[in-house]
Amino acid sequence: MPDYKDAVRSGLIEFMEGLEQVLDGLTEDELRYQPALHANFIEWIVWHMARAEDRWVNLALRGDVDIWVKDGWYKRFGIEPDNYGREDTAEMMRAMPKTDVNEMMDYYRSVREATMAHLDTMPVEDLDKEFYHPRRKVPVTGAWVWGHILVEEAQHLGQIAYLRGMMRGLDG
Amino acid sequence: MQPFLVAIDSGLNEAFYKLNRALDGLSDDELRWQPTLHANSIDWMVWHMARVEDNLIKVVLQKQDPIWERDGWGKRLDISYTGAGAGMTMDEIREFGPFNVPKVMEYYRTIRTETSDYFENAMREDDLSRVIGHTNFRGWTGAQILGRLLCEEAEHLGQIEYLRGMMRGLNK
Repeated sequence: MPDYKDAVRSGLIEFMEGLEQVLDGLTEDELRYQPALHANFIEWIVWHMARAEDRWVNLALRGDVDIWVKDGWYKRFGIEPDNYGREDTAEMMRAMPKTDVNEMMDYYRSVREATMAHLDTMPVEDLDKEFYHPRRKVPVTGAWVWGHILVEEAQHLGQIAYLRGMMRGLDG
Repeated sequence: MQPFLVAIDSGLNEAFYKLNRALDGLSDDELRWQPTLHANSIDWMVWHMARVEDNLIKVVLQKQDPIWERDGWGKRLDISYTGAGAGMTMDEIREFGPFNVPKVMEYYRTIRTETSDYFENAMREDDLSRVIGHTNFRGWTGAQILGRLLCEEAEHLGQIEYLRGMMRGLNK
């Protein structure tokens, strides 16, 4: 495996570890806490993060079905197969069915396995290749997609860390 | 540019673009607002983000003086503290600032440009695989530092966007 993939790989590993750390020991109430009525709560953010990575890797890069649909996760959580949160209004977000965050992380880890397998085997030419943005239907390069996955996921991880800090104080 | 550096550079540019968007039109009070006493304000985070990229790229990877020092930004911003903010207590953070955010962004833009230059012209594959030998990052490779940099910048970006959302509502 070429070393140059390590920058992306290590970013992916880092934010997954960070996510497991910030979720550790949170109560159901903390997972649903909203500092403002239109502000996302942690449980919703975790679901959205897993869905975003699933769509980018499996729909956009691999041109396949997302794991959410393929493995029937949507049925277990009682959420529509094509929903990933992007179009949610604040009311829809608040109406998200109660989920078990550990089970949601199982879904995310299974997405992650596919992400790593794809990164390990993808040829370097794919970085310049054009893929379709699953929502906007415009072409984007493979390099853009990998950068975007890291940015988007880390943005949401930062939000969860901030929410935890608001509730529990520094290092709480 | 080494293949996967394109992905990292694209992610850093995306985060920087979104940061500019998230800051657009915020008032001095909004830049200083803390939702709880121990939660970081936006202006502190912007300064911290710029300092982190400067340190990781210039000091840790390139083994040069930080741009902060080289270009006299401490004097220009009237800040005598030379760290990047990690390890500050909340009391210290609250006493620190307010920051001149447009000037901090000018400093940040210089770093962003020089980071891309470094990726384009100087960084080679063995710089990614080599253990960098910095006291704060024992055993880390250059690739891991880049993964950390992108994650850390995007995490804080996500926090700034979240704070903006808390103050102004969705997409405002």
